[in-house]
Amino acid sequence: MKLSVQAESWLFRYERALSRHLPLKGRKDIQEEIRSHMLDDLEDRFGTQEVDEDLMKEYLQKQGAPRCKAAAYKSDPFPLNEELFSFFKLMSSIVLIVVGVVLLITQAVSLGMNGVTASGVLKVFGTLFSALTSTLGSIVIVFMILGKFLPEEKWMEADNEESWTVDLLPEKEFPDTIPVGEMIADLVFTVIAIVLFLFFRNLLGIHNFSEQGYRFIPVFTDRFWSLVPLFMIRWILGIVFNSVMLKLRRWSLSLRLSDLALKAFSLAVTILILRIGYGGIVLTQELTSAGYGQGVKIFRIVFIVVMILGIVGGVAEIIKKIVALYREPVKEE
Amino acid sequence: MTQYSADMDIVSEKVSGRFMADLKRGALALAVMSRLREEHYGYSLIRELEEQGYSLSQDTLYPLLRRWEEQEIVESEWKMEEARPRRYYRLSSKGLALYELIKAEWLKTDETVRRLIK
Repeated sequence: MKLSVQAESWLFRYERALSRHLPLKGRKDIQEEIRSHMLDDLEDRFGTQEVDEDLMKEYLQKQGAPRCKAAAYKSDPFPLNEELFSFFKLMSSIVLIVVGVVLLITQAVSLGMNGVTASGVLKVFGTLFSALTSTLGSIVIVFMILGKFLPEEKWMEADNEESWTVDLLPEKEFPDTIPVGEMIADLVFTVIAIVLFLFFRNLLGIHNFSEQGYRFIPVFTDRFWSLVPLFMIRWILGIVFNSVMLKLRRWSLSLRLSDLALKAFSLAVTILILRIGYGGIVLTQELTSAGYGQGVKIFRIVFIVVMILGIVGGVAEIIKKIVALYREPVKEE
Repeated sequence: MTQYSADMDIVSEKVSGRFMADLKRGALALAVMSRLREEHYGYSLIRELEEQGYSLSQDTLYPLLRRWEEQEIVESEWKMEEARPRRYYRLSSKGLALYELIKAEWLKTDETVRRLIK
């Protein structure tokens, strides 16, 4: 059996569409096995005859919608579909490791600077435990909500068995697909940030444990805290946007424009923070008099570098989005 | 019209189809396991079962084999044949023991049902 170039191309399109819907775990393996099966089947059907474009299209049509074929491989190990569960595992591991390491370092530095005491060490473990459990709780809540409002079929495009035809297989690599993992990561981190700024504001500072006892040294100025509602608006809009994207799973003109507007919003906030300056954001004098003068100096440089990188990155992102708006096909609503 | 065909008209195709599918599903594990005492790749397994009068689709077989592999009921190995890779499956020792158990249960059930419907 020989496949014509066009037939090979249609088979490739089908496999690519199928791959999108297969579970992440073992995806390559399943895909390879299905390909092997289809080639055996084609060989059995067509023998030495060359399989041309029409024969291949007819064969693939009989195979049915890729989504339906892939559905047989899915299971629900969680109130979420497998695709979402894989992201949950990935996201929770990353977030917990990052939060754990960052907290451990900051608390260890704080202990080192203020002297190690038994109550100080206990307090570190207490903070670590409380922060990690509330972080995990936040992630679980986000994923439970996603799993509830985005049932499995909502994750898939509407190419059910009845309406699906082989001509629906796109020629190019789905240009308007969305980075699901990135969006879920964005959602999780945003929720954590909101929880942190709303309910754990007292954690955002220096926790001083010394012989004299525990002392909390605030780091941010009132000016900074007055910006928090602005951050909240941006984060909530971001959550709404990501949720809509995850539900629809494809770009549209209005979504592209919304994305652009959100990026511009973030850029504006970054510029605003830079204009206010380090002295307006961080309680430099208080920190210096508390003995953190060296840290204040280091973070002044870090602040400028991060802000400039943020602005350059933001501008680059906006340019990329504008280019994508012109280059990629988007559905007019 | 005979009484039998009149009754059959009452039973919708959908309902009878569901009963038939359930019946077939019950025999699926045993049918597939019976062939996996020897090494098979998916396509050859489907063909052999078809030749024996038991048809099943690849969408049923492959996910089932994946689940069984996770449960260590089957073992698999990729082999390169005729310029393309094929994944061969066979029952593991745990799978063989399970097969014998299910087979014995099936034969017992078969005997009972035969007696009941005689």
